[in-house]
Amino acid sequence: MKLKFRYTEKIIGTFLLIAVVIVFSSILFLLLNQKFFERKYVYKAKFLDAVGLSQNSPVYFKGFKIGIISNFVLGDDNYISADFEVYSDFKDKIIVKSALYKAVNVITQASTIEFLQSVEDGEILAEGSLIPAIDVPEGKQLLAQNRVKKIGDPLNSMLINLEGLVENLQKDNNPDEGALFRALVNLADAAEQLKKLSDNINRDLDKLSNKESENGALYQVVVNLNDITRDLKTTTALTNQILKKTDLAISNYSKPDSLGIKLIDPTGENIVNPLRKTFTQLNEILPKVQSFTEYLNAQTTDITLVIDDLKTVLRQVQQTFESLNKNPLIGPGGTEMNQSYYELNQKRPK
Amino acid sequence: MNLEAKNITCKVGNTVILQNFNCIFPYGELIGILTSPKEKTELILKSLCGLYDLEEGEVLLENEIVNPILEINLRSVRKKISFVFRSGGLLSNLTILENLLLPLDFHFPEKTSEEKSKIINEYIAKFEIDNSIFEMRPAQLAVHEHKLILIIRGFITEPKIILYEEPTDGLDIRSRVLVIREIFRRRKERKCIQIFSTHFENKLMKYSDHLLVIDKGKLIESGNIVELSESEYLQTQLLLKDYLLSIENET
Amino acid sequence: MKSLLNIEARPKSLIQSQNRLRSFLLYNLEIFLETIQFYSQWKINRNILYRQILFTGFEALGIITLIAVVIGGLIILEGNSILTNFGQSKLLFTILVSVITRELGCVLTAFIVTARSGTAIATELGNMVVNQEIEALQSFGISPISYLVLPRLLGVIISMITLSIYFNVAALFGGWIIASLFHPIDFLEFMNSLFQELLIADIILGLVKSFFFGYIIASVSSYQGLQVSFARTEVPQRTIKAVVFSLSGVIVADIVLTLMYYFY
Repeated sequence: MKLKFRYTEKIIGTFLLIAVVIVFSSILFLLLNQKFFERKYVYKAKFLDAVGLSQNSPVYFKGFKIGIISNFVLGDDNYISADFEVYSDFKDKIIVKSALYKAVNVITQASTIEFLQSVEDGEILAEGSLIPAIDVPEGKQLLAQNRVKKIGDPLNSMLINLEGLVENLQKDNNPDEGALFRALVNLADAAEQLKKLSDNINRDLDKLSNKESENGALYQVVVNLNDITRDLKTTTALTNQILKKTDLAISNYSKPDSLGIKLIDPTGENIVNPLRKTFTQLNEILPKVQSFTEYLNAQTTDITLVIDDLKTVLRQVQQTFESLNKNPLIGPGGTEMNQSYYELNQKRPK
Repeated sequence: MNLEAKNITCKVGNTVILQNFNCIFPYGELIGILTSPKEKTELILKSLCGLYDLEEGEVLLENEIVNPILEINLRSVRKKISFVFRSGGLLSNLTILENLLLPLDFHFPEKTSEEKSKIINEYIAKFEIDNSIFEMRPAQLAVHEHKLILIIRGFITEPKIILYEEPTDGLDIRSRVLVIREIFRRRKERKCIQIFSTHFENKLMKYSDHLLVIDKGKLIESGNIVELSESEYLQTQLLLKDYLLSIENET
Repeated sequence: MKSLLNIEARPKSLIQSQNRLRSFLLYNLEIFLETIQFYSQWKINRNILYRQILFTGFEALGIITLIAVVIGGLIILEGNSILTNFGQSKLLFTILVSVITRELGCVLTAFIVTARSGTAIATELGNMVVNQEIEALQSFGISPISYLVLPRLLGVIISMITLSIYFNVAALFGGWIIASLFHPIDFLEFMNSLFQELLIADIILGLVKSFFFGYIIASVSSYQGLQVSFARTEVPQRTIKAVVFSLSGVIVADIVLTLMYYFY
């Protein structure tokens, strides 16, 4: 005890000093970690909404944190304007006609913001310039010009491509436009079959355009289209079967960070990755389908019938999917599933 | 530099300690307060030096108010007054040396530690205490040592007023003589007012300049021991009974 | 205000006051007033402050470290085993930061400081009142608040802050060491993930909480100690009150500060 009193000052000096050093070093480390001392390049960012945005939300580019979003406010134009602070290491990456992409996790409402660099080489963007998110008009324009590509997420890029396709299809006085769009989205797993199908259609159409003068040609085409429709239905049925296996994955794919999908497929090897692959493939053939529909639009009204038929099928598929989606974690259960599938078979034209 | 109590009243609960008490304590004198053992004599002393709140009146030292004391002149007043407790009153978590140094450190920060230890050592020698108790804690001391340290602590700042609560209570015969001798020395020098309360210390009573007899908060009479021994008051006669007996025994 | 200027009236007015809440507020006001002139008596108060830090801070380091290591290790072990099932092992660091840095670090330290030093302060001051030591100080003109309460208050606050820093370090590092015995986690990865989750605001919140907890413990305990009036039998009763009110105060302050942190 005496000894302690003699060295009181030294003991408590050391005791306090170590604590102070710990606090200051960890604060310093955190500041360095947040690149507090580095010069930051500030750009203006524009988002459609502030869902999932928080102060200092990180912005990633190819997996690197290149900056943060701060000071976001609701502007007069009802868009969210924010400051996008870019770390000096990455300032070269900010080139003209680039955009931002904000994805929100449905469950946690946490957002991940990705920087989409312009596809073409461009000049480095001047500090203070606007970098739009792809869901605001400026960003959509960049998308339409194919200046930016959303490559990170195949489903998303597919959706973007589908937009054009749907617009074309909707020209046929389609009363159920939204459903068609959704159905197409959900048709992802029919990629392989659709590919074959589109090849067939292309071949038939070639035939049609080459032998326009022949009387029986149109009839043949219609017959062929009937076959196509039947093929399509078979395809849809197949799709249904595939979907039976992957319904969980599909419903969860919309929220890939959810607990459910991690629970079922922690590594991603069993469901997510194959599904991703399928989506990528579907994405590849979509331009072809698009050109096909564009072509069909240009054709006579007879073909509209075929398209209507196609729509019916798609709507049925849609119904199935909606019932699937009602239960995102386990799927709708056997009965409902079979019923939809059964209905599809019932309506198959003889 | 007289201590003057002006019309003071103080109470603890409903019990009256002092009622409309007026008194002047002349500078340099040794003054005793005599009360019946039932009364709280220590509160009378405390109210005189500002350690106990008054209900009415004030206590003045020259022109400074002692009680109720003000923050502004707190230090200068406290430097001039010391209070010797009957028992206790030493800070238990400090050593004896630290206890003695505390008032010196507080009131004389300008003094060097050599000067301070010189003062302390003088008193220690005067009261024939062993140096070895310096590093002890109050709880380790014998009763008489404890009391002596209390008295030394009262003397050490050389105050203008010293109040003793039973100054010789708990002392052995030798130290009692030393303490009384020191009190008388101060009386002789006429450099401070000494006020004590006692119920039994005949020697102090005998050589006091004044004795105040207080009953139920009221000052009954005052005077030196010769005057009081002829008092008509029953209370005074009772209080001085022991004293008078001892005088008879001596003669 | 007169009684505030009248320094001798202070402790007695506290003891005699019937309205406890009011006098506790008054007591805190006095502490504040005395704090302003604390430095003028630095020479006298220094040693008490040092001893208080030695007793409250340094000597409690052992038990703080032990508890911290065990708690940290348990959180990491439990968290790792449960969260990996969901593929959410990254959440472990969120839990670590929120549980230890923001909450448990300060609260458990406050509990230990109350148990060790709060009781000690209440008992010591209570006995000092009984032993007339407070009056002795007053007779010198030394304010009991500036001489007895303030150094203890500062000592407890400084010790609380320091101990909660050590608690955090011990819980995070020691926790990692304990967890590594059962389930190896790479240290650099651990640190990296931890600093990803940790915010400067968390550290500051921890320090602010420790400051207030320290203040509450010391002021409540010293107040209760000084409330003893005559008898030694009051001392244990006041000590019990000191513990109960300190802990309640700590919990309430914790809730208030946490709410303020989230609403800010």
